[in-house]
Amino acid sequence: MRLTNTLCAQHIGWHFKKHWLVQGRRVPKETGAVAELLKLGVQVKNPEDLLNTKVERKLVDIVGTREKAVSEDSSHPDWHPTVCHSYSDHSVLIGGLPQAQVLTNSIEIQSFPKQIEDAIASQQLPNTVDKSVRHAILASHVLDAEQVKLPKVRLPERPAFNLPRSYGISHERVNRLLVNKLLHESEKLAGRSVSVRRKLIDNASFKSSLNKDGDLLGFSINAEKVVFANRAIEAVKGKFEGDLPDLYPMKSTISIPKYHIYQTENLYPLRTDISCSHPHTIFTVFNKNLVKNSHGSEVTTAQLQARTLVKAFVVAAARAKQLHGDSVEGALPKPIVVQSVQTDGRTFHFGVLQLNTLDLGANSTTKNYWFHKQNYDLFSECTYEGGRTHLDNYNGDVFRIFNAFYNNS
Amino acid sequence: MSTRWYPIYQRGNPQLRVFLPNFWMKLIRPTEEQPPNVVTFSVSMEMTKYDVRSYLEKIYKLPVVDVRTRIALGETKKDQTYGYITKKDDVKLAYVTLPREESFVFPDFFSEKAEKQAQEEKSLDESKAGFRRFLDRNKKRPGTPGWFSI
Amino acid sequence: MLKFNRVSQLRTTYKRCLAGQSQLQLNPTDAEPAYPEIQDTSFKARKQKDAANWHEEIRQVPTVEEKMIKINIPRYYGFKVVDFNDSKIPYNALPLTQHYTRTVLEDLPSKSAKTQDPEQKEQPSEDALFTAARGDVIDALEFAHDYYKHLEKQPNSAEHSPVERERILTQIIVEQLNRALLQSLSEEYKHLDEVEVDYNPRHEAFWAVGGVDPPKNVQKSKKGREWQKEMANESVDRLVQYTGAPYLALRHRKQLSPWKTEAESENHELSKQLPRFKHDPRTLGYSTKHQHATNVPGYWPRGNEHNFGLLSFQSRAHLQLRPKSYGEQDMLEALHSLAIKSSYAWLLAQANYNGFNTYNELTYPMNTQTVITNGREWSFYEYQLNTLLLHGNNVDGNPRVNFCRGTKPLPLYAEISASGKCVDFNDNALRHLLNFYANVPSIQRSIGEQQPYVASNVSGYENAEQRDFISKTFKYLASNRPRHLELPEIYLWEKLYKIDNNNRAMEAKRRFFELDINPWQRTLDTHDKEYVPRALRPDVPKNKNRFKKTYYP
Repeated sequence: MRLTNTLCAQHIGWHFKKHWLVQGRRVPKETGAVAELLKLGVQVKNPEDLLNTKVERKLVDIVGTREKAVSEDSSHPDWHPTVCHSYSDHSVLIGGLPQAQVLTNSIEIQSFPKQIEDAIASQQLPNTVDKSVRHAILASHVLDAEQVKLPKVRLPERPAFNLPRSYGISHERVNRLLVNKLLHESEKLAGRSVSVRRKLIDNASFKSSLNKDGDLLGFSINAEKVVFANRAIEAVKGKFEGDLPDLYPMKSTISIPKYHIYQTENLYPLRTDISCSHPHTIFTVFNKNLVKNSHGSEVTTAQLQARTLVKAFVVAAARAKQLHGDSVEGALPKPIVVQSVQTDGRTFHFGVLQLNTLDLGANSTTKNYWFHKQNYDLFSECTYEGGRTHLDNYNGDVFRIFNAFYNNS
Repeated sequence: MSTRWYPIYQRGNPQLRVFLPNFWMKLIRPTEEQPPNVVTFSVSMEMTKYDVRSYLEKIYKLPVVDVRTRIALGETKKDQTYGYITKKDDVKLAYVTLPREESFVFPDFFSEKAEKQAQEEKSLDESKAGFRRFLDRNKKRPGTPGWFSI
Repeated sequence: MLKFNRVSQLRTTYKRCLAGQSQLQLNPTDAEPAYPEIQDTSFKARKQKDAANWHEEIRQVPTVEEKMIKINIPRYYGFKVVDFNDSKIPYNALPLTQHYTRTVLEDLPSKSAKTQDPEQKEQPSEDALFTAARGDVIDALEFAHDYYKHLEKQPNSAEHSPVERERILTQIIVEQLNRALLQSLSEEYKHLDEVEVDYNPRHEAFWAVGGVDPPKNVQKSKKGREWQKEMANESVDRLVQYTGAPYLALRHRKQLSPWKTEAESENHELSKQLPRFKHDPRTLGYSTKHQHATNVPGYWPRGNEHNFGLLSFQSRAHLQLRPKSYGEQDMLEALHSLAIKSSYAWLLAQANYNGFNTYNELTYPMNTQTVITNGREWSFYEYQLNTLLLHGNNVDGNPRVNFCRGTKPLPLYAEISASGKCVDFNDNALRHLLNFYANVPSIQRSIGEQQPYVASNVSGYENAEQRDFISKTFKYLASNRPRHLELPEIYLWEKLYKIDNNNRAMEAKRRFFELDINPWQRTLDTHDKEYVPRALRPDVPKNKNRFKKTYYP
């Protein structure tokens, strides 16, 4: 039947509903039976308790297909009440090099140590080396046959455009090949006498944690390639003076993410008692798709250079703690020198860190030394276009510095 | 193991029943040529590779090297009267690899029967042909009896 | 007047023809007239001739890239290939591998017997070199294990499967050992200064194999046609695509010298004895897939002069996944077949960059050395590639065979003790490895001899548009990226109600399978040409040059 007003007028469903509501709220009449029973000493129980007894449910511990995720709150085994500024591979120091200097208590010296400068000036390389290096660049940038999907490309002026995805060599692989090939060239030039005293490893991770003016700093970094030597690099001769930059109103820990879940262990990839365990040079890769400012703007040169410094610092600090125990503080008995190179495949930033002290406080008297120069471009463009390879503005100086770094001891 | 529930006994049901296990394997003739050490089975859908392997190893003591399974789509058929489509169940096939020195030949149970049938058909064909010859011979002389000839 | 002219013209033509004929036919010096060869016009012969013509066309194509494009032209969505990769070896794979690569397997002769006679004098320096290398290698091994222990301690290392863990450890060991050996040997062996090291390069190769039984659908379709019934069981070529990534590969600009002579390689008896695997490779456990034919020895063509492989280190980590029931003997055979197929594929890819391919025969032998290792166990193989022709009737007709010789897996050390020291170092295994490094590549051919079928290279082309087109198409094929428009799909309901059962006879037939279009048969060059915007062609009329040219060979 059609749902008409006439029909609805006849419908008594509403009355039934109301009736049920009333009946549901009915209160049983007090008959006095309870009082009478109590008088006779009979225990009276609430029927609710008997009819709807509460059953305690036990949680069954099921062995699942995978381990249960540990919740990231105070129940986490690594949870600490004090907060830690955790610097990782993807962190960017927004203040750039000055912030990194304050953070690591290092003064900046805008040249390389004298022994490296001398080596760069005096080294004699055969004429064929530039040809080999050019070949190494081409082999890693365009001639390798890997074809994987590359990250999305966006046009800044047309952000909604979906360009066809390009395939090619991944950024990681380009850098891995380039560093490997350049090291291979250096080792060929140096000969067995030098190269036998070096060992190379890939993707080594370093961890260290330090206190700075009451703030806990945790560092956990990964170096794409590390050269170890059988003897530590000699400390740089001479004394260097300088002041730390003033960051006011910024604090030195700004833009380092804070976490309550962390580990404060110290990690250095090798034992102390094997022959080649001294850190010599670390090579780190800068990938602009992974390392970003939190507000999305491009990483600046100063921020990039800060990254080189911090990475070197972490390696040196981890080594110092491994050598002298976790409790070491203040000036080190023997300074630790670590060379650090950062590259994105095209631009190279070289630096040398001499770690004199692990005391990062503002009123520490000794300072660490950070020797570096501006960035160098290995080339301006390296492409494979129209069936021909192009390598424009190749800069031979980069390999000379690279080679001097490798041979430094 | 049987995943099938035993039916609840009702008065009047037979007292004793035998239930077949859910796990069964049927040896089938491979459709394509295979190496001699590969045997094809049609198995119950619940069986995994590991079930097939332990079934053969534990019950029949066969040296199983490898088992591969796949599920074949069942055939569809059009109903002759009403035109709707019916589909047979999907089948799980197991290809069991034996050690390379073993060889398995699918038994030919029905070769004799086929032979006999072929013979019967042959004699039937012969008599048919004889009759046709007879017809041909008498085609051009209608009305004459069959025994009449020169 | 006009008429007369026409007649006189005709007459002169006629006379000229007569004169010509007399010259052709009545030349007294020719005893017999030269007739063109009588051609076999049977279906089979025509097919064979077409194939031969196509192979000849490929041979005539001037550049390596264009040859590869030419081979790929028949299929827009890729060929149906047997997936022959370096990470899956089914049970009893050796006969199939030998058939598919036409390889005779031998034992590696022990080097001690071979080297003693000619190099007696060099023994002291060899020994000094050996002890130096031994020290370096032990050092490198201990260092690698020490570093690996550190990696194990990392929190995410527990997620790795045993196969991944073996890969990580072996990668470290192989890189360390390679570096140590290059250092310690390069003073004595100058060729090691010139080698190019590839880290996890991409090795791919494509080839066609004959002598395999046809698949069921081919048989069925042939049996359905009266005139093809007899050919239903004739073998059909299978296309094979190898994909692999060794830990490390060394290349050099010169070739290794062959260890089998021409006469030994061309042996009909030997080729007859080769194992044949006539069944479908899927019956063994190989799978098939659709992809473009790619030949990649780790770099792009004309990339550099280091065109010949010296040594490659292959992984055996995936062998862990094989069930125990396969047995020891099959494990050994799996190693052999891994060595055979990886060496063959790498050499084929190198040969491809020199202008040869599975349809155009090699003109000189090529050699390589292969090491299969998990860090502790090392097996050593040498391979000589003599022939590439495996397709069609070559399985019976080709007298040439390829050779592989190798060792059993030899342990390089027994274990690494808890204190990080190497226990029970095996000098024999190291000697094998040293011999591979010390094997000096000595053969250098002239460009004409090395690449007889390559007439030019793409970078030499004048036309920039053509260069661009060829290199882009080549990379597109080699990357095996999915096509812009995917293959049209047959929905399940369509299969049930339209293909298998004709239930919708009255519906308009618009889908590709109703119009008899097989999308797999689409050729590479059947696509719309790229439009050139008008702004880019200002000087021509607007309906001219609207589309970019294509330069398919």
